[in-house]
Amino acid sequence: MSEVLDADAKVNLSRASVLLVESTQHAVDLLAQIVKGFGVRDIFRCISIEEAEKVLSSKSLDLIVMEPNLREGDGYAFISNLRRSKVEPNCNVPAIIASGPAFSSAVAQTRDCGANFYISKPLTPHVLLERLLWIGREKRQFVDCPTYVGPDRRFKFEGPPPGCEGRRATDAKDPIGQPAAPNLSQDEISSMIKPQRVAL
Amino acid sequence: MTDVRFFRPENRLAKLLARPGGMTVATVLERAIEGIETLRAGTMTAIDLKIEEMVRECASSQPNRFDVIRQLAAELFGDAGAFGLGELSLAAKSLHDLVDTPGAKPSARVIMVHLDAMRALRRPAVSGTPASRQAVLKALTQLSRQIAAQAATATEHSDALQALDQGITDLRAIADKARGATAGDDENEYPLPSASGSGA
Repeated sequence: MSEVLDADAKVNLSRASVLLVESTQHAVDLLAQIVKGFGVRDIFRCISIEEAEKVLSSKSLDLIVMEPNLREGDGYAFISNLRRSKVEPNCNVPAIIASGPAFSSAVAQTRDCGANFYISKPLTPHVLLERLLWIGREKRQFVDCPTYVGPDRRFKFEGPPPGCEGRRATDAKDPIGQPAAPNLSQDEISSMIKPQRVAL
Repeated sequence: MTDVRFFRPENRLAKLLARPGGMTVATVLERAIEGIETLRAGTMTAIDLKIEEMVRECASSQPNRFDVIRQLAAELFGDAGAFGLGELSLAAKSLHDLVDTPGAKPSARVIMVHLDAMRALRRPAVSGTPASRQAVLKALTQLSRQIAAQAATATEHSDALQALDQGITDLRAIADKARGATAGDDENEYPLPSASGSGA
C-alpha cells in the first residue's frame, strides 16, 4: 500500500474536523502536531473513550485517528460501537487505527472492528499523510450485516477460498470452469463492433 | 446466506481534499516535522519517567504489574520511534513481547535487564558504538524468544537457562558500560528523518 507522495501535489485540510485519541497526553499532542502540520485547524484531542464519546456526540467529524490500547478503554470497541450506532454522519467517518507492537492481532482487530486502515507505530508524518490521502481516494462500499458494520473487508475478490461456499448471496457457488471456446482475436472483436464501409 | 446491506456513505474527507488551495505535500510534511520537534524535550522526559515507572512496577508485587509494564512498553515503543530513537523503540518492543507472551512469567531480573538496556539506548548518541548497541538489541530479542519458547513448551531446560544467565550478565556489562559514558553529554540530540523519508 506504500506509495510515493507527489511533493508538489496540493493538500487542503483546513476545513477538516479530526478526532485524535491516544493513550497519554504527550502522545496525543504529538499526533496533533502532525495533523496540525497538515493544515487541519479543528482538532479534538482525547485520552479516554469517555472524552472521545463526548466529542462524537457534539461534533461532525471527517476523520478519526485512534490508538486502540488506551489506559482507559478499548479503541476497537469504540470504533465498532460507532459503526453500529447508525448515528449519521459520524458512524461512517473514516477511522485509522494507529497501534504499537502487537502487529498481526492488531491488524485483524482493526479489520474486524470496522476501521478503514491500520498504521503501525512509530508514527511518521509521511506515512500518516499517505494513508490519509489513500482513504480520500478509496471507493470501497460499506457493509452492514449482523456481525460487522464498516468498509468492505474484501479489497479484491477472486472467489471464495477452496472448499468454501462463500458467505454472500452474490458469491459464486460453483467453481469457474475452463473456457468453452478459444478467446476471440482482436480482428474478430473489431469486426463485431467497428462500423465498416461496405461497397455495393 | 447472511443478510447483508451494501451502501456508499458520503466520503467528506475526499471532498475536502479535492477543494482548491491548500499547501503542497512537501510543505505539510515539513510543518509536521517542525511541530514534532517542539515536543522533543517533553517527550524525552516522559520516556525517562516511563522507564523509571517500569522499574518500580518490576520491583512491586502488584498482580497487574505485567499489564502496566506492557502498556508502558507499548507507549514507549511509539514515543521513542517517533523521535528517531529506533534502538530504544526496538528494546521497548522486546520487553512488550516478553510480558505479552501467553503463559510466560519473566523474572524481575529479565525485565530489569531490558530496562537497563533501555536506559542506555535512550542516549544513543553517547552510548557505546552502533555495534555494541546492536549487540544489546540482538541479545534482548534472543532472550525474549527463548523465554517465549519455554512458555510454549511449558518446560525448563537447564542449558537454556544457563545460557540466559550468561546473556543477562553480558547485557548488564554492556549496558552499564554504555550508561557510564552518558554523564554530561547532550542526551536529547538525535535528529528525525527528513520530510522525504519513507517512514515506517
